Amino acid sequence: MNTTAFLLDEILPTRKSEDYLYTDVAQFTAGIETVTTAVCADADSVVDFALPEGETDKPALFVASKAKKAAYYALEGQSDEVKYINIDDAADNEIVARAIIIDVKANAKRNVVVNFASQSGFSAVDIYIKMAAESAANVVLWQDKPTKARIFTHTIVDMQKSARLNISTINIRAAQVRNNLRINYLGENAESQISGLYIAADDNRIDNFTIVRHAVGHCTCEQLYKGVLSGKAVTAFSGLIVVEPDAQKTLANQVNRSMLLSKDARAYAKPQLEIYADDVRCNHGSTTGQIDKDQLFYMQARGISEEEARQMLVAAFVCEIAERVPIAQMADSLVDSIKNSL
Amino acid sequence: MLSIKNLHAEIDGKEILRGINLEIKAGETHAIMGPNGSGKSTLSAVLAGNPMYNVTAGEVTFNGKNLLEMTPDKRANEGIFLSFQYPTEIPGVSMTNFMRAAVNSKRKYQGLEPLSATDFLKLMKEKRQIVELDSKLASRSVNAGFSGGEKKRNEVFQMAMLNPSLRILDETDSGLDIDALRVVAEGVTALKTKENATVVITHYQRLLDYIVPDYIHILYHGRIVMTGGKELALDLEKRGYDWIKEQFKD
Ligand SMILES: Nc1ncnc2c1ncn2[C@@H]1O[C@H](COP(=O)(O)OP(=O)(O)O)[C@@H](O)[C@H]1O
Ligand SMILES: [Mg+2]
Repeated sequence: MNTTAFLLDEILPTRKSEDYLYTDVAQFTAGIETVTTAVCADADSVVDFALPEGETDKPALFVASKAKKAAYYALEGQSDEVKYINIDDAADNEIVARAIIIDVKANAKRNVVVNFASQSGFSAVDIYIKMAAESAANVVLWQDKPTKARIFTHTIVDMQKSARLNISTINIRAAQVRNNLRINYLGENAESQISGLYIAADDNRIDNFTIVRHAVGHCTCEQLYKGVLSGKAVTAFSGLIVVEPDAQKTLANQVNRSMLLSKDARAYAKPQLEIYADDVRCNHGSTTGQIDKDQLFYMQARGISEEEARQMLVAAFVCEIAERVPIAQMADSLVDSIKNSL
Repeated sequence: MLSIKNLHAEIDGKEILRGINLEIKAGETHAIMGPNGSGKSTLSAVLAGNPMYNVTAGEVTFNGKNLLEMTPDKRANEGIFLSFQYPTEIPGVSMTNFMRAAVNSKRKYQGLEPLSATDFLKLMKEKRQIVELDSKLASRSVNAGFSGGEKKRNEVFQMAMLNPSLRILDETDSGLDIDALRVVAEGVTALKTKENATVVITHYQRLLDYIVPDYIHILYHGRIVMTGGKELALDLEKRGYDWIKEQFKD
């Protein structure tokens, strides 16, 4: 079978699926000839991979789920150290598909960085994060240097009772990215803060799709995605919040803000709320704007050149995301990466 | 120092300045008064180089150079400072980073090395004291969440940091209570030298008790319709602007 046809039919969703209206899957897979699966080398163990029960979405790497092998990481105890999971290079014409299970045990408090450093090819990763009761984790999906690589992530998080999650997805000038993030609230009093940063230049394409599903009550979820687009870059953000009938006292907030630095850049935003409980507080908002002219003039009126003022304003806009990353060294290096990218 | 000849300016095709003439020499203090909507802020914005306004006629020279050709940052580095009537909030840019960029831009323009971190912080501290600006404000984002009075103090603080030769104060007294007004006005006066000049835009006589002008100009409907000494302000305080409006209606 022709590889591209195989990819489109078997692995990746088609454009007919509404969730993929914005993401150009054919373009995404152009030039790909082979699909291989891999298991992260530094895993605690290799286990059989199965999607969480009730998960019907087609995962990013159907292939790996067919291979049924996943790198398994058990996170126990409390530590400020960072557990790095490295996603290695793929060759130009290949998709390398991986599955990762991050099992955050009860009462653990841990930091995890999934590091995408590839300069080429196509990395597809399924990440299944199990947040046990009373567990806490800070997770960063990290890609911070300009790259030709394509990235597809499909992350599913199960939140048990009183779990605390801070998760950020960082993409700085990657050629093509599609991130799916699903958070399922399964136990009460769980909390998450979700952040995303996309800096897209030239003809970069960076899409973030989140679905937060509240099956039980008394949980909170706060989302902020911010991005800066230049050149002919295109980005999409789609955020769906589902509050099921039993999920009373849910607090859910979702904000998406994009800044356009060029005429040809496009930022699509599609916030959606599906609320079936009555005693909840849910909000969403999205804005797309340019550099504020009054701010620019104010800075120039103090002697700062237009170029420097623009850089400072763009950095200020996106550095809000760095402030939300609770792992100090990652937040610091994010500020540096942001400044280098502008 | 500053010479304005027949200056006309418009915004969105609407003419606001309709032939302004003004000469300002080093060491002088000029007050500009006039009813709301006369064009006072427009004049200050045009001098600072706000690109929203279109200059349609006239010329402005600053120390012999054509001011209208310069970008706003160049004007600032040449020595023009505008204390904004409505200072802009810039969330995410800290006062410290903002002032460091401003001070070092000016130094670069003058061919000087950037200030060292210690010298810069020393300068911040020294100048903050002139307007009694709370040290906490220096760690916050530029004007973000500042009260009206704090914003005005912050303008004068920035002026102290940048040591300009032409100081344009656009209603720096509005929003200040009587104590804050005194502090800010004394700060402005303390920074006055024989080499710099001051333009005070105000509605109120009370500011001019502290910053005593050599000349008072009345701006009405885009023109300076009257110029006098400091006693003109007292006259206006008593009689209001109606007689001006009556006398100079088109
Ligand atoms: N951004 C703007 N767009 C349209 N009209 C403006 C704008 N700014 C000022 N104006 C108009 O210009 C005139 C002068 O305003 P301004 O210079 O602010 O007066 P003043 O400072 O003397 O109160 C007013 O009629 C005002 O409505
Ligand atoms: Mg005004």
